Amino acid sequence: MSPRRLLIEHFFAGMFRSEMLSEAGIENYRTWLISAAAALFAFHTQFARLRARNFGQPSDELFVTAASFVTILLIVSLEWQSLFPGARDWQVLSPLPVRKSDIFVARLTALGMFLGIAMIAANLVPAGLYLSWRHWVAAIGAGSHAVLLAMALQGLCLLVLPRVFGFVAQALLLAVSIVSLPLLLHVPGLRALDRLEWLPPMWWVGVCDARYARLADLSWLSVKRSGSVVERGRFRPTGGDFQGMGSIDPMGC
Amino acid sequence: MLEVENLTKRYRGITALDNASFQIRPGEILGYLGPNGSGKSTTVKIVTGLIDPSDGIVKFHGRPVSEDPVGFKRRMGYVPEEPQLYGHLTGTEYLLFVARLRGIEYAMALRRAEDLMRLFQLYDARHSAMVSYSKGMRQRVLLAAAILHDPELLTLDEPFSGLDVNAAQLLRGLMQVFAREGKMILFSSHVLEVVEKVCSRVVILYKGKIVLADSIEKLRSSMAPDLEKIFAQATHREDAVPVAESILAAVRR
Repeated sequence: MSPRRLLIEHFFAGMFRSEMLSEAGIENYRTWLISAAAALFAFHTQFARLRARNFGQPSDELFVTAASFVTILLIVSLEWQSLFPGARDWQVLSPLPVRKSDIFVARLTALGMFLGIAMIAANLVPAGLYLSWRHWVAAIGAGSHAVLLAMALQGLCLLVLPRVFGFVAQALLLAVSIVSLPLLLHVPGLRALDRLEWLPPMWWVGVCDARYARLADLSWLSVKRSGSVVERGRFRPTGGDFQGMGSIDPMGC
Repeated sequence: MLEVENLTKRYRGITALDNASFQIRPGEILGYLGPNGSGKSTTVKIVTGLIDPSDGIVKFHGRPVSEDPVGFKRRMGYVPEEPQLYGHLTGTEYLLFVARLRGIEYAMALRRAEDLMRLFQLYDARHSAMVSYSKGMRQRVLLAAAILHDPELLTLDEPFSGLDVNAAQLLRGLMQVFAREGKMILFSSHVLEVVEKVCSRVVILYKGKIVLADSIEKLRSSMAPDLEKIFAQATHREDAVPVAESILAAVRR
């Protein structure tokens, strides 16, 4: 097996085996699993409620895109430390016969796989509800938007607060996603969506609902803009070193 | 043979290592000594490929390491000063991961990993995540990882930190056996007693420059009867007792 493939496997598996969870042993895994099950149950209950009534209102569509957006944002903020090569990867892997580019590519591939699976998992229920490719595209688009927004936010923090950007960006993302979760449950049944047009998940409703089609352009534009911010930033190996976003200057200099 | 020629490292204009040159011949254990901040770890990091030098060259068997860094790392083992590991992995998993990255085929890698876990008295902890290991246990895992591919060059940066008496004796024995088999060892340490016992030659650094490089025998006959006195002379260290008295006086003033 090539070193790159080994590294992809290693990084991908590492995303499911957080040190925070393993530190206190298996009990923490159980707590984590119970929490995940409870969250899924809460969503299931919510979706069951949606099914029971006249489903298909714009607020329901907003719920689907917002659920995808917030879930992915929460996953990104929880897995923040394992998204990019950091000081420890550098210290552990640099003395081993591995190319630096392999480390970087493996990290990104593992991240892509992880987020891909997370996005599919997060949107399985909405797909079952709507069975329309437009809704599927809107939900996946909202999830991708959350990823790009998280990266762009980190880039912004890096510019404004270079020394503590990692911590600040993660704290901000966690705060936004945790505050958004309970608010999310109030979305179905909302009548005045016009006042929520400033919300990114609302822009994605424009992709699947003709009544809000004017917002669709905004959603694609925002992805394009966030993507270009990420692409122009430090999100690439430079001069043979891998200084990905989130990596710490390994020598502290 | 490992040849280090005119190695210099500057960090933002500050010279951490200044024109250092030395060689390690097969079967030789080179003691690399110096007070804190003298440039020992910088040299080790350059040799192991963790950082690039500002000037100078490292050659292995006559060829610059920079021509084929991956090939060089296949023949080198490294024990860092700080035990940096993936805490979510078990000891066996980590050794297996390193062995596979070093190109050792799975069945053999697993056999070696298990054998080394047993020999380094880590077998009982083989199923535990390394985040629960003590510093000494982590250090032993790193030692096992550094030798599992039977390297030609072993680079040890303060390898005794955290090791108990038994493990320290084992490491000392291991170094002697390795040298007897014609392997090269770069041994950076503060533990002068051990250096005196196992090394054939020493290099002493002071403020980034090599101030002394010779065989212990010759230094003993020309400078002082023991390495501690030689070290004190080379690094212009003041007599510790008057300094200690001054410290005590300062805190009582």
